[in-house]
Amino acid sequence: MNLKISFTESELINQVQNNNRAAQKQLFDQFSPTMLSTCRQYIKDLHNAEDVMLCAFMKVFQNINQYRNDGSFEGWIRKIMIRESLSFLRSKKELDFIEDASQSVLSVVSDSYEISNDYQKLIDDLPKGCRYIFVLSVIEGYKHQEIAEMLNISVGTSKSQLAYAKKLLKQQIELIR
Amino acid sequence: MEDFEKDIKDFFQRREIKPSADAWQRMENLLSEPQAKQKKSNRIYWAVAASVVVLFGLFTLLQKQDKELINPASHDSYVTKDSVVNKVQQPQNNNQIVKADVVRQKTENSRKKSTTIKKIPEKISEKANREVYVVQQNNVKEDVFPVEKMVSTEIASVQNTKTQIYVNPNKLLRSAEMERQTDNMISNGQNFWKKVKEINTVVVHSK
Repeated sequence: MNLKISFTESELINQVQNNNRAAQKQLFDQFSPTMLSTCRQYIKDLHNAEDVMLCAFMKVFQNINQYRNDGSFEGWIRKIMIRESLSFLRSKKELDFIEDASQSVLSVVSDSYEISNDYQKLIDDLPKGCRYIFVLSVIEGYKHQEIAEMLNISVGTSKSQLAYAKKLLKQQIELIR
Repeated sequence: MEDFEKDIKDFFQRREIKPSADAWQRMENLLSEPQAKQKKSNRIYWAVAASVVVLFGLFTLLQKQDKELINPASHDSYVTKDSVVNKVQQPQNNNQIVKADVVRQKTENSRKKSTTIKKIPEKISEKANREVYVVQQNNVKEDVFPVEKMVSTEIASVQNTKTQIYVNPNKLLRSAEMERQTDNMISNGQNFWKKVKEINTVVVHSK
C-alpha cells in the first residue's frame, strides 16, 4: 500500500483522529526522530527509549481528540513522551532515590569529553537523582513546581538537586578545559 | 556556565535520533492490537459485573436465611396464624362447623409434639359431621406449612362437601397398626419379666 500522502498539520491531525493509517505513518515519520531524542535524554538504553517512544505514540494516536489548538502540536507530543519516559523510569524504580541523591557523586569521572558532541554523555554520567531534574529544568524549561509534581518530590528538593547537577557539570567542564 | 546551559539546550532541541528500521512495523502492530485488547477487557468487565451481581444475590439470600434461623417465629408464625384465622372465618360465614379455636388447638397440639392417634375414634364417633385430621408433628419448624396446608384442605373439603366426614384411611390404618405393635411389644415385655420373676422365685424356693 502506498502511504506517501502529504498532509498539512491540521489535515494530519484530522486524519489521525479518523484513524487514517497513512496520516498516522506521516505523523510518526515526521516526529519520531525528535521524540526518540527526547526519550533518550531520560533513558540511557536506546532500545528501551525506542520502546517507550512507541508506547507514547500509541497514546498520541489514542488521545489525539484531546488535543486543543492552544499550543504547538509538537509540544503536546513531547509532553506525552516525557510523561511516558518518567513512567518507565518509575516502573524501574529509577525515581525512588531522588530525595536521597544529594550524597551521590558522578557515576563516571572522565576527561575525554568532546563537549560539543557529547552532551548526552555528560548528562548520562550525572547521578540519576539530579539528572532528570536538570533535563526537565534546563532543557525542557519546566518550573520547579511542575517538576515537583511530575516526580512526586518537594519544590525544595527540585531546587537543591538542580543546583547540585549544575555544580557537578561545572566541575566536569573545568576538568575538560 | 550560562553559556554551557544555553549550548546544551540548543543541542538537545536540535538533536534527532533515527528510529530503527522496523520501528514503524512495530508501531503498526501496536496499532492493530488494541482493538482485540479492548474486546478482551470488555469481556472481563462483563464477567466481573456478572459475578458481582451473583455474589450480591447470594449474600442477600444468605442474610435472609440467617435472619429466619435466628428468629423463625417472628414472621412466619404470624402469617400462619392470620391465614389460619382468616381461612377459618370464611367457612364460619357459610354456617360451617369448624371453628378458629379448634384449628388453633390443632396447631398448638402439633407444636407440643402431641399425638392425636388415641383420640381418633372418639372424634369420629362424637362429632359425626365434623372433619377429623391426624397430624403427627415432631418438629416445631415443620408445622408451619402443614398447618396452612391442613387448613386449606379443610376449607376446600368443607366448601365442597358440607356434611361429609373426611378421614384419611391410610393414616388411620397406619396409626392403628403402630398402636397395636406398641401394645404387643409392651405386653411381650411384661410377660417376659413375669416369667423371669417366676423362675427366680422357683430357684429361691428350691434352694
